[in-house]
Amino acid sequence: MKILSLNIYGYGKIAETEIKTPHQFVQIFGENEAGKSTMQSFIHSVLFGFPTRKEAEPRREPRMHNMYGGKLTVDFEDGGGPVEIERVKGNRVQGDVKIYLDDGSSRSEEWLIRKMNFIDKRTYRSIFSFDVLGLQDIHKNMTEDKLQEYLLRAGALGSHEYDEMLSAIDQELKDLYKKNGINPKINQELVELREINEKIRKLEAEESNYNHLTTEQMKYEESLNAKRDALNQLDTVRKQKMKEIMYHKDIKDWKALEGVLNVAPPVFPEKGIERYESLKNGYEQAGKDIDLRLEKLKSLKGEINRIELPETKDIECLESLKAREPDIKQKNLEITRLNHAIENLEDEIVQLQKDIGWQDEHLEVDDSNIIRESVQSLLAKLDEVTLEEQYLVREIDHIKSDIRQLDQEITALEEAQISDARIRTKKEVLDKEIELKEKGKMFQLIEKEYEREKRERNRSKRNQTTLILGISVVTLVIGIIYFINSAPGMGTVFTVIGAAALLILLLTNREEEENLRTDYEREVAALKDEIEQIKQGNDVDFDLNDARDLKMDLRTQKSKRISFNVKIEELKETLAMKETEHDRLNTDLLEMKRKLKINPEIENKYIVDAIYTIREIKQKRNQISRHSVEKDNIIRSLQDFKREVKEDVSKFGITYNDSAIFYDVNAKLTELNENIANHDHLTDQIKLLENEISVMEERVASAVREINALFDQADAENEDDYYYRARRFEEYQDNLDRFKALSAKLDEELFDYDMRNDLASLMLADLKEEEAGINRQIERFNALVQDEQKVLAEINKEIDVLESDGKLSELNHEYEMRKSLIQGLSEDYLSLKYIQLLIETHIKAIKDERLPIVIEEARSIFEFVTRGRYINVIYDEQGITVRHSNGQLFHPLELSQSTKEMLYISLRLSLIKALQGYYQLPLIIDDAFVHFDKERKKIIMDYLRSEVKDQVLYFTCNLDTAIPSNQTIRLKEKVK
Amino acid sequence: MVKFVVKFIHCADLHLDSPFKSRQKMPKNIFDDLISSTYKSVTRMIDAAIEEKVDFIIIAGDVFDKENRTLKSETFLKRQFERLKNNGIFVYMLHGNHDPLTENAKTKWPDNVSVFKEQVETFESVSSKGERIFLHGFSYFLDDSYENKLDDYPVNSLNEGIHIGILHGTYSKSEHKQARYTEFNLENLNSKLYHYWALGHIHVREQLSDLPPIHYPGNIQGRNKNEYGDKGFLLVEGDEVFLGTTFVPVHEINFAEYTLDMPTLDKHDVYQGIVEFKSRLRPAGKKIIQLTLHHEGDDELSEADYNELLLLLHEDEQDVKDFIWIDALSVDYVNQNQTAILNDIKASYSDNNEIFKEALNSMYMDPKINRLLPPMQDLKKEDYMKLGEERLKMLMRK
Repeated sequence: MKILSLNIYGYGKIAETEIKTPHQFVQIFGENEAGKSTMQSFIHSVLFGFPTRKEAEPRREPRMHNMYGGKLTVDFEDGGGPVEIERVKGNRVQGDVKIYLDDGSSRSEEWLIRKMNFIDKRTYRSIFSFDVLGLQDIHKNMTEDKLQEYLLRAGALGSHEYDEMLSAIDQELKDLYKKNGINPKINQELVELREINEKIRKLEAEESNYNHLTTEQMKYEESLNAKRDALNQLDTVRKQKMKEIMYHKDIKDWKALEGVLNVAPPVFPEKGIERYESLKNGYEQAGKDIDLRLEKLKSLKGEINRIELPETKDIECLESLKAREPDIKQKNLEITRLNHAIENLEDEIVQLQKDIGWQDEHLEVDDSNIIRESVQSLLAKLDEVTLEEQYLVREIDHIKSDIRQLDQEITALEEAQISDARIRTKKEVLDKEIELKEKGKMFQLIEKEYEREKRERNRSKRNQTTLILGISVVTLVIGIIYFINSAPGMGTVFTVIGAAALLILLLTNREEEENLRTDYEREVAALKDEIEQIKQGNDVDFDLNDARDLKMDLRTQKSKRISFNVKIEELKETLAMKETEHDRLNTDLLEMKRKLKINPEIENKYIVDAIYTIREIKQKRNQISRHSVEKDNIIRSLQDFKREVKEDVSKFGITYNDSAIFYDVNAKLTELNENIANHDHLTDQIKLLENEISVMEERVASAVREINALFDQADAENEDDYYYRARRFEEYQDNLDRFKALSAKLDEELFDYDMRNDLASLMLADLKEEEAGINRQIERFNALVQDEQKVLAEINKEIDVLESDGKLSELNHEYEMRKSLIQGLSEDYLSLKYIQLLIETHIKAIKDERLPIVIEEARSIFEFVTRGRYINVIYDEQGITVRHSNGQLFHPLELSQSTKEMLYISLRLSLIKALQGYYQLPLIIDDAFVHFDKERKKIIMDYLRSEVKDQVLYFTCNLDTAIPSNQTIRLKEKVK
Repeated sequence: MVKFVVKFIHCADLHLDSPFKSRQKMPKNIFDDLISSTYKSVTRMIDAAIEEKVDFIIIAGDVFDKENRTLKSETFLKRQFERLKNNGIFVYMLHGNHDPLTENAKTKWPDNVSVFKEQVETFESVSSKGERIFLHGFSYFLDDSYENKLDDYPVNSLNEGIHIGILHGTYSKSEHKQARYTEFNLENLNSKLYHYWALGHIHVREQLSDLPPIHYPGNIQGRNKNEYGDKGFLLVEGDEVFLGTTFVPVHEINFAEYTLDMPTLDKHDVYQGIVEFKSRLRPAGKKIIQLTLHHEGDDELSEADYNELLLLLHEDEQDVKDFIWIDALSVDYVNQNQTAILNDIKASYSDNNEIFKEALNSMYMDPKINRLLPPMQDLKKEDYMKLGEERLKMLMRK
């Protein structure tokens, strides 16, 4: 790679500077502080990135500019043309890189790194950069080891840290694992893992026992099931036995009854005893009843003989008497009622008399309708007259008040009247005003006419004036001409004519006649004054029509008053007539009252009522007389009845009494009727008793028959025998029932006939013994089952423990976890081990393969630069030595300063040459040859310029004039 | 209501009680949760089966784990099967490479459980809707000796009922790391004319075919960092025309990978950042995560700081119910290209197997440890190179 140009945007103190370095060898000359180091740093930075904090190099960010970075134009050996590498400040500390190829395309930083074969800044510096400081450092410490190490480092392509790496790896490896070790991590983990593994083995062994346990479990379960079955069977047997014992007595009973019942069954009528006893009771009772009834019959017969029967005629007589009772009672009541009515009527008559003012009854008074109607007509007339009177009085009052009102109005009108003189004056004024109006109109017409004439006159006058003016001017001019032409005569003539014409004009223009108009004006004004005078002198401020109306009104009202006065007179006359008639009617009415003998004080309108009252009195009087006649008739008939009855009742021993007669008759009648009824009743009873007695006798006979039949059925001789047979029958039935019940019960409990017979033949003690035997057997089995259950429970427990125990699983987890931990650590160990081996192999390879080539190259360079004084560089077990041309071997320490530097440079250059295949990068030499004399410097310069294939950038502060000036750049001029 | 004639659950690779592999020592609570995680996810599945009233459950192998097959897991499963039995649900189960028939179950399954024998056999079932179901499958007899028994599966020529093939094996195009037992291709399966293939063995959920549906349900609970994401079972329902599947997650602990941007690598800031990140994750439940810190700056995290940080972060999860356990924490240094120091070595010696072998021998020659390590031939030197480089970088950051 060759740097064609540097374009620094801003780096350290350099800004906006471009330097072209197109040559293979470029000398860059600058005095101290000219910026040589900055420029070197710039190249490094653009190629590998701006210095980071870790590097012990300043970043050189410009203080005065914003731009940081720049551009390198380089040429790679592949012939692709110049490539621009631009690096500016960016997001990353190293800056942002842009790479542009010649064809305009761009590439990434990775492309550059690859292109430079992954070399880094540090390696680049330690191989391709030479500076005086580095040389000094090295020759100060140029021990064999250092040189060797340095060479190795350089040879290892910049991996100066291999030592560090190896020692770090070694330490880590020791920490991780050591065969047969105890403390390293993996070894410790291994121990723990082994322990876990042991535990796992143990637990696994336990789990393998699980199958055995499950088999055992099954075996015991089967055995247990078998035993449980047997137990169940035994239990059934035992229960059967217990049942047998329980029912043993019943079975025995049953057997005994079977024997007892093995005879012919006795015969006895159904419910024989009851039937017999009831028959017997009935028979005895019937006897007693018959006796009682005979006794009663006897007494009834005695009683009936004591009763006497009345005759039918007597009863009929009494009945008819009794039938008249309501009639008599009615009559008595009627008398009382009539008496009451008469009394009431009398009272009413007295009351009515009081109403009309009678002291006594005047039944002769005429109360006919004629009288009543005449009274009524009189009353009607009276009412009419009274109404008319009232009307008239009201009418008179009305008219009077109207007259009063009229009087007031007339007075008011008279006051409001306007005098005739004023009216006349008013008329005069009005006439004058009309005249004034007429004159005004006329005046206006005259004025208009006058104006028109005036205009016409003016126009003709203007024409005249113009004409006269023109003539006068012409004549005057002519006159003047004549004067000028010295003809005063003609001049005077024409001047005079002109002046005369002017004079005429002035005269004709005098004022006109305006007399007519002024006269008219005066006349109108005079008229106006006259009117004003009249108006001032008299009050004419009223309407003439109003005044006339007022006069008319007054006249009308006055005539109205006169007519009212006439009317009132007429009305008064009529009223007087009506009053006379009124008095006459009152007298007639008084006469009527007298005729009717009623109190004259009574009001007229009640007279008719009084007539009605009189009629009522008369009516009531008639009614009273009628009631009296009726009463007398009734009293007579009652006396007849009394006479008649007195005789009839005496034969029944009844004394007549008005009030008690009907009660007595009734009592007698009831007594007789009772006697008859009693007799009938007793006769019926006697008949009934006789019937009953015959029925009972029949019943007794049948009972005796039935009893005999029962006895025959039971084959009994008598009552005692009958009872004995009944008892036997009952006994038999009881046994039979019991036998049946027992049979049913035993059937229920499944004891069949044979079993019953067998069991009946056994003793209870035998059975009990059998039961005891069974119980013993059950107990034995139970004990066995319990034992086995215990064993099974233990097995189950063990199985449960195994099943629920997650210990093995957990240990397995832990085991695997630790195992993978170990695997992880092992991976670390192995990978580091691998890297360690790789590095070691690499170092060895370099020592074995590359170093001889480098040494050989160094030898030839060293020989060249020392002009053959030293002919060999040897690298062996003891380190590096050089051979002088005289054959002597020298250790580097034995060499002179500059020779040592020569050796160093030779080795570096040989290294660069050896690495030609890897890296082709420019060499940067920073004043490395200060210790050389002229000749040596020349030799090394020649070598650099002729033998080195890479570009050389030689920075110096001592200008080498041997270098062509086109290959020299002077920095001083560039940098301010 | 969707019309279906059969409804069942398809799951596989329960790996009951399988141990978790971590390079970190864990606090008791997380360790316990890990132990119970497979149990919990299976319990959830059984709960779902009962709730969904499925006809049966298919378990396509690897019910137990070779590394931890104990009575505990068997007893647990027996209890769960008994729960199914009480609800009238059948179980069709086959054994895979991790739980072959030779490792006999110590307990007896309830009678609703049918286990396939080592020869291909067919069980017939009737769904609650009255449809006849034929289930074909076989179990592994030994874990590592097997022959391809695909040919033994009967071809469905009846055209009656629903046929389900159950197979524990590897899809020929599968790229997963699991050992390749019973490799098959889709043609093999399609030729049987079944309605559904219930596969097992691959721990990643995958649908191989649409018609007929061929599914790996994946395992039911992740067991290491490679088995990330939701884990569960497939709920299958439908009829002879179409059997639709629904994935139902039941995992207890989720494995996941995350990358977190870290503008600074200051120990305290990183700690704070991760703690906040964890608290964001926490509501989603228990997680074991691989966390990569993405750093674009210039900072470095020294090994001491790294170890301290990890310790702090782990201590924070002690006795936390919904823990977020950081299984691995790595830093992605964007701006550092220190690999260059080894590039030359890598270029020169990466093909040299002798060096790698020599490194391995340092441990594999030790009988105390070599039996704990994976087989030597399985190790790849690239992985170790990368790991070693990272470890070295970490060491160099002291």
